[in-house]
Amino acid sequence: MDSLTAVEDEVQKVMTRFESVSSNSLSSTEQLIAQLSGIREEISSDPTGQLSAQHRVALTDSVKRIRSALSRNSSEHKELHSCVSRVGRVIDKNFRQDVSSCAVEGCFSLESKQKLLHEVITEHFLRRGLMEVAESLVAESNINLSEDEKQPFLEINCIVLSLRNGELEPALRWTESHREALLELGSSLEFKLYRLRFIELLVAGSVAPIELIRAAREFQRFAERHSDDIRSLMGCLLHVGDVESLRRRYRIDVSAAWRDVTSRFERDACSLLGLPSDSPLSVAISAGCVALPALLNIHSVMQQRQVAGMLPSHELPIEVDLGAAHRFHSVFACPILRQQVSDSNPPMRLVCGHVISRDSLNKLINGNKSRIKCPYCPVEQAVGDAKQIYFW
Amino acid sequence: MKMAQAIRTLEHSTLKLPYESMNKKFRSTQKVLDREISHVSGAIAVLDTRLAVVETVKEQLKDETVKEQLKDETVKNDVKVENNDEESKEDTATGKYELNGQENLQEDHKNEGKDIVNEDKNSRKGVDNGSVVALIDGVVEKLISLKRKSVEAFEDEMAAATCCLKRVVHLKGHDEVWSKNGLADWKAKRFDRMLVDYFLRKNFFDTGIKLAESSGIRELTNIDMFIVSREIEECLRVGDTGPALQWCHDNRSKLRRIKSKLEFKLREQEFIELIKGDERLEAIKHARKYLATMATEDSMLDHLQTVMGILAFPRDTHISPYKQLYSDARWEALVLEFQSNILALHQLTDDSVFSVTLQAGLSSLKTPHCYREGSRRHPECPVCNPRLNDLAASLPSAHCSQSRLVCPVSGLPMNEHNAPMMLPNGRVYSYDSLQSLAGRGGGKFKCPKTGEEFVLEQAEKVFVM
Repeated sequence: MDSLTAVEDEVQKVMTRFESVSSNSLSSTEQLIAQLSGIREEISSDPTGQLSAQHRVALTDSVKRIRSALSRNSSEHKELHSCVSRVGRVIDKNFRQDVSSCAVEGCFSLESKQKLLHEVITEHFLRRGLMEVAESLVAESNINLSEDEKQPFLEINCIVLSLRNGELEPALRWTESHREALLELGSSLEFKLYRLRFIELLVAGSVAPIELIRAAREFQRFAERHSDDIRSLMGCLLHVGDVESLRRRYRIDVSAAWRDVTSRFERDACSLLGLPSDSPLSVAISAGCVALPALLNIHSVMQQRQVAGMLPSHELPIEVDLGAAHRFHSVFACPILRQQVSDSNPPMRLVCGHVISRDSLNKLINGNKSRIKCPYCPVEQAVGDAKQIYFW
Repeated sequence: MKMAQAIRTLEHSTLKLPYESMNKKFRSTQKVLDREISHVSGAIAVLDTRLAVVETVKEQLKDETVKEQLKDETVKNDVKVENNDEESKEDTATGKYELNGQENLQEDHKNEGKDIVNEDKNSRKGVDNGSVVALIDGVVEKLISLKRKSVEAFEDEMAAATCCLKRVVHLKGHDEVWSKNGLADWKAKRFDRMLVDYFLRKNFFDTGIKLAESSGIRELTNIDMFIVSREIEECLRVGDTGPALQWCHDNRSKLRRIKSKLEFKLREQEFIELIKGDERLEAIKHARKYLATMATEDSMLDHLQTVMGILAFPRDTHISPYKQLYSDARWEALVLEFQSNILALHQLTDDSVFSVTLQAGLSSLKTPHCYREGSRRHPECPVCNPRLNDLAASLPSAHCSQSRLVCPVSGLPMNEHNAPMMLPNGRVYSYDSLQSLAGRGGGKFKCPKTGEEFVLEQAEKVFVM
């Protein structure tokens, strides 16, 4: 990324010059010390006890040299100033300093809102298993989170930790006790766990065949839904211990499998508990990181052209496309009037299947006509045939 | 592209703070260098003078006979002169050295040297090595001190620059496509950085530090600045203005640029405290010394006059504004003033990046559905989360000019591949969802919203432009 590279270059330049100036300065100082000490030794070991002309000259010379060297050191260092401040200028030029300009004033400043915000953040930490941080936040911000809220996260985190430590047992026990619910969810978690156990044995290679067979037997109840996978896994028996072939032919990657199982467990466990599979705070923040640059841009343009008062403040001034992953609810904007529908202006389906808002429909009715024509196709219909629909 | 924009928008303070720290270290290194060099210059000047004496004396004593006559007296006076030497050497060594005053000092030393010459004229024939060696030792000592202090200062400078580099390199790391988890990890760290900054601003130090350490981002955060800030604040809270005044002194030029009134207010409070302690004379002296010169604007002068007024009122007065001036709550106001100054100094915005980003995110996700009575909350939608729902209530909602439909049952998009279908009761679901519902119920199914029974054939296609 250009901006970062620009800053990096300037900082590298500064560091190189720091290095050279400092080493020059130190080595010249050392030389001066050595030289002067040398002369001192000579003088003090002079048996006459008097300062000879030769020494006097050497000393005067040395003094001159010291003066000029030190002043040169100082000015060399001073010259670095422009190099250093260039870094600051590059940073200011390439990075925005006006993040606050988009903020809604006082949005989170009420004490009640602060509490909510801190509770949400604590929820986020519980979900991630950062228990100490969560507790610290609860203490420092004076909030209360009920045990009911904490409990499910504690259990999930316990199992996630064990998975991270390479233990399958706790997860297997959990999936067994939640088998019905998982099946209804359409989750393949249990199968994945047994599969993981199987491939661990495959990769280890040094296990007795009876262990492998025992592990394979567990696949029986998954035969219907995962027959392809099972077939492929059975084929792997030909390559027990041969990690390379397993990886190349059957794409068996043990560490990826562990990661996959761990994240699946987290998502499924949360779904079962009716909790979102991703921390809502994370999702909101990543949406914000995408939306904020666009909003700041439009905000500064609006300020420049002084159009601030013209747009409805209950809606953002521009559309921000967050991608399909962040679309949770239907949004319908009437294609004619380009407004979002609402309870007072609901979507209406015409007989031909096209949908417009009620306001648009009323506009089409202009006059005493009892029949209207769809704006998108030649189909005509009676006004009353249009039906209100619900997207939610 | 999006990542580049996000970085440009959010990371200014991440990079600016270590830069400022580096700038400060650079400046202080320059000061150290110049100070030590002037010490060396001072020691050199004495040596130089001594050597100049030798020149002069030798010239004047070319006459052999004079040398012979003085031989006896030399022995006696040597001791006396040596003692004088020691004293003058000490004086010059402890004297003040200023950056531009070196020439003046050398002038002084030359004059001193002339005195020594006049003294020596009739008493010595040469300089004995003992005194010269002692002077040389003095110079060497100062040179060694210069070297030692320069090493420290250069190291500090370099460390500050390295910190800048580390941060830039970390930010560049978002681009590492070779690591599959790379981007996700980077984003997670970014979120944690935002949270740490938020916690520090709210004074939740333990939480901030714990999070920084667990996430391995301590050097990427500005914890150190906040620790310094907290120390000063703690002192202010117990009525100690020392550290705050020192901070004002250290950052004088920048504070002047942002037209800060902090120092003035601190001195005002000191004045009030003196009055509280019944030391009115001291208070007046204090005011003369500090407040008179600092009140530069009219508004400050007016305020100052009010403050001076409390000289006339006792501590337990009920008359405002004097009553408020005596109140201890002014210390808390000073803390706030300090906090706003330190943020402004480091060009940190008033709102944390975390708050602003969260607001933007919630707004862009907010739809009317999330607030509709009796509407089914989508489990994954953050704005439907009860707490965030409350927080986002006053925020603007997302603007949409293009329709995008999502099936209420499956959460999947409804489009030409998976058409939206209307049931006779007006509810719309995706074709795939209806098909699978019907499949499970043997052709019949219940509307997920109202429970009415329908069959697949009753659904009619809906066309959304």
